[in-house]
Amino acid sequence: MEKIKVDLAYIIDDDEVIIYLTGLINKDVEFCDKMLSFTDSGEALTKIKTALELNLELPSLILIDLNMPVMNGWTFLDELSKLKIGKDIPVFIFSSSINQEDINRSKKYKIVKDYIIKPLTVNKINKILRTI
Amino acid sequence: MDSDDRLYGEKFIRELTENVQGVFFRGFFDKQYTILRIDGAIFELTGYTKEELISGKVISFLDIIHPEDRKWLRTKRQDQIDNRLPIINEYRIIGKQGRIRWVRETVSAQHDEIHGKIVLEGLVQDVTLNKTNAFMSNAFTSFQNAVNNGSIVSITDRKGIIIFVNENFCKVSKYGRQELVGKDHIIVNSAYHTKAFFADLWQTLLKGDIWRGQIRNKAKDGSIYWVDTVITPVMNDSGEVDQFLTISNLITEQKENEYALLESEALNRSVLKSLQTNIAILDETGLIVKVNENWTDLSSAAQVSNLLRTDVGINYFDVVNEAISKGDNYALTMKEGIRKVLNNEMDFFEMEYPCHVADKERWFLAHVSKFENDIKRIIISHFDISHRKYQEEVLRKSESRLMQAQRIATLGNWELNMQTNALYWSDENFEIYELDKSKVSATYDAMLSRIHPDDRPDLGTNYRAALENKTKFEHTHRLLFEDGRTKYVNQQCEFVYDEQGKPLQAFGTTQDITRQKLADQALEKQRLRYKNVVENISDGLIIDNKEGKVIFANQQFLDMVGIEESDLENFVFVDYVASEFKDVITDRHNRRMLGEEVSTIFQYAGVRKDGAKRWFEARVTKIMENGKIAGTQSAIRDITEEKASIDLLKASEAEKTKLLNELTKRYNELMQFNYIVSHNLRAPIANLLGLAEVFEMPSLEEDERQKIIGHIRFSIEKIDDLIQDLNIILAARSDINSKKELVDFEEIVHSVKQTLEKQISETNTHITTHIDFGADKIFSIKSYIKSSLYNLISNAIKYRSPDRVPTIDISIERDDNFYTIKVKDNGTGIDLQKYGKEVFGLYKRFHLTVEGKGLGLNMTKAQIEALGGSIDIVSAPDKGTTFIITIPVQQGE
Repeated sequence: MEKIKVDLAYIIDDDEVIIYLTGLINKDVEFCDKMLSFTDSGEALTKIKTALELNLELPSLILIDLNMPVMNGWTFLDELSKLKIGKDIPVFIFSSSINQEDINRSKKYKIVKDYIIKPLTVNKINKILRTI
Repeated sequence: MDSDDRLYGEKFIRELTENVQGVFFRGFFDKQYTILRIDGAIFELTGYTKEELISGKVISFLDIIHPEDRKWLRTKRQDQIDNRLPIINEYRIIGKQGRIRWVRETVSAQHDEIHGKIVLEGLVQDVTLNKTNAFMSNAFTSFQNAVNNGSIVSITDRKGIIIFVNENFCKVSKYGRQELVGKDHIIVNSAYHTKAFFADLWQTLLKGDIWRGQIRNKAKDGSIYWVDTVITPVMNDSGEVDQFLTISNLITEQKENEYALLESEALNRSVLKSLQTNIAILDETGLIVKVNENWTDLSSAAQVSNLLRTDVGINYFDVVNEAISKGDNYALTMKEGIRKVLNNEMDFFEMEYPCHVADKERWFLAHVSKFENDIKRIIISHFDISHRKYQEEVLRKSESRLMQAQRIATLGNWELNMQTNALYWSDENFEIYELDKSKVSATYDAMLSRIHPDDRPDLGTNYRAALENKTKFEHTHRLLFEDGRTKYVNQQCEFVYDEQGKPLQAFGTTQDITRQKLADQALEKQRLRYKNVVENISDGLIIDNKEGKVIFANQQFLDMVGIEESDLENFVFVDYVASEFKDVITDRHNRRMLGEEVSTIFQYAGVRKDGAKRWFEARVTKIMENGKIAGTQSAIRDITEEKASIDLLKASEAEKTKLLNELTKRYNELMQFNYIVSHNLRAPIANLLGLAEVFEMPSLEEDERQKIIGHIRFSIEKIDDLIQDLNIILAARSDINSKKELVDFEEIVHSVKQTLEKQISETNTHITTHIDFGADKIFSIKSYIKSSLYNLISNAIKYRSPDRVPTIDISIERDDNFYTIKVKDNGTGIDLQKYGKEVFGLYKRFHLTVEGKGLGLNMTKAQIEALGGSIDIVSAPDKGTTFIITIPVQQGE
């Protein structure tokens, strides 16, 4: 099986455990060259906007949690959809919620490629990479 | 005659009369005696210049002829001209200053063919002096006579100083001759006459004219005597007035009579004037000889040709005849009346007649009567009776209204004088008995003839009984007519008694109630027809007539309202209706009787005789008789129990709704729980799963494993926290129906502090509690208060500021209506501008730095609202947060 890898991945989750775990998995399977993690989705949004303005590198993959304080995942998706980005950035919802309503709602976003139920595992990462 | 001839003729006369003093004139013998030529000497004679006179520019010749002489002079001249007699006349002319001169004219008359008129030509000569002399000679004769036959004679100079008095003067004036001669004639003046009177006298005398008049003089002793006096100016040789000769005759007695007459006439006149009556006196020919002022005023005010447009000198019959010719019947009657009075056929005649003017109806009463003592005079007077007529009209109208009302109500009235047996019937009474008023008079027999023979005995008995018992008489009986028809009449009457109790008068009414009676009979017929049905159905049935009187009720109805059949006589339906329905029911009935469509089914609260309130449903229908509404038929059902069960049903529906609301709430809570499980509980479990997986990764180094174990412990603790939260939530939820109890606020705060002891001590948080007087105990659900305080206090600790020592102030106050609980901290605060709406939302957290589940505030809000209260927040970033809970004070607490 050919190894798939992205350049830059954004991990957005207020849970430090998740960030830590994702880092560990990346060490193991190396699904991206660089990984930027955010506990505040607003910060991630700002980063993307700055990158667009300064023509810096944009992420090739975004993994985002839904249930976050201040700006939750939904708001981030709304804001991101509004941005005019030249390339297609695949977004994967990355939630502990097993609530069907949340899953259905996520399907309404074009930019969302899939809804992944936590925990994040090597298998699930591989699946994401295949989707891309 | 050509102009030469004329000139010649004039010249001839001038020459002929050259030595004659006089004024030559030439003028037409026309109406004004138009002057064509006249000598300038006319000025001396008349004071008018010839220019003023020629062609009548200022004054015509006719005008300067004394008025008394104008008529005879014209006649005489005409006669002289016609008979070709010499035209020689003596007459008076009046000069510019009113001076009278006697003139003699010597004139010839010619026919002027050019103008077709007769021309007079000749001389006018002043002959005044000659006339006076002639007069004087006459006067002297009078003087002699006067002196001889007992007249009062005096002579004064031109200033009025007495020169001579005769014996009679002395006798009448009671002065001695020596007392009079040399004195002013004023000595006998009685100061009776006006200044104008004497001015006129003197003016006349000084002009040389004779004055004649009646003078009231005063004798020496003050007594008054009246004289008829002629004063003659006596001229001297040069024609100037020199002396005055006064010849008087005593007329005192005549004057006194005259005065008495005048006085009585003045009295009569003022009496007549003061009367509001218009009076005219006619002679036997109909000529109006006298009217009073009112008559004059009225006749001048009358604008139309009528009997009043009359005045003195007009023949009243002419006026009357004129009016008759115009078709005035009043005038005809008037004429006939006057004639009868004149011919002694009548003592007097009276007639009322209208004399309307534009804006007002006027009526007059004309009264015609004779003078007494056979004097052939007629007095006609007119009284204005408009007001009386108006009153009569009002009365007539009101009577006619009464008549009309009686006709409508088919109600007649009658009066019987019980002394004389005189009976009066109103017109409607005749109508009811169908007797012709013009043929039959109101008598007892006439009445009896109409009464149904079968009903006579009862009527008589009842009438006598009422009379004896001194009660009101009321009786319904039948009338029977020749053609076999019957009528029902209701008789009522009241008697008036004298002091001894003897009946004097009866005042009664007779009302034709046939229609009503027949209607009632029709209703009764209906009842009989359905008697069996009626008495066996479960509904109450009633029939009422048009007036709303219940004329039938079945036993069921009687039972419903709790009355006996005997009560039905005086039964008034609305008396058995709850007050709030009385008007509605009356209104419904009246409208239905007027033919309006009124809904058939009607529910009302009724009141039984025993006072019990019941609900009834009435189904009402009209009863028609010969196409007319005769009454109503109602089926009445007691719906009290039915209504109660409906009410019960309504109540149970309310209960259902309440239950449904509760279920919805429970469902929402379940969804909430579901949310908690799927999100919050799932998160640490997912972490554990993830951690477990990486833990097995072979590449993992030892220090990484230690880290993973640390994370595993953290996640497990988190799960534990959540389970504790859920426990609280579920506990609170299970308490939703718990009974409220008296909750000791301080005790609650203490218990919460104990639960949070670890956090409080670790963060060194200072908590103060202030409990207002009377607010130490709240009647509420203990678990709600406790969980709310727990959430707020733990929140306050969680969101403390790292820059300050955390403080929390808890207070409770109470006023009449609310408890107010405040939890105030000095923590980081929330930007309400940004998150205000979401503060109490489920799982909302506003801080990245603090652990939180976003559960507490949502739950607190739900609980406070369940208690009927509300929760509010006051906060700003870095300024701390205050939560304010208000809970209503329970009634009776």
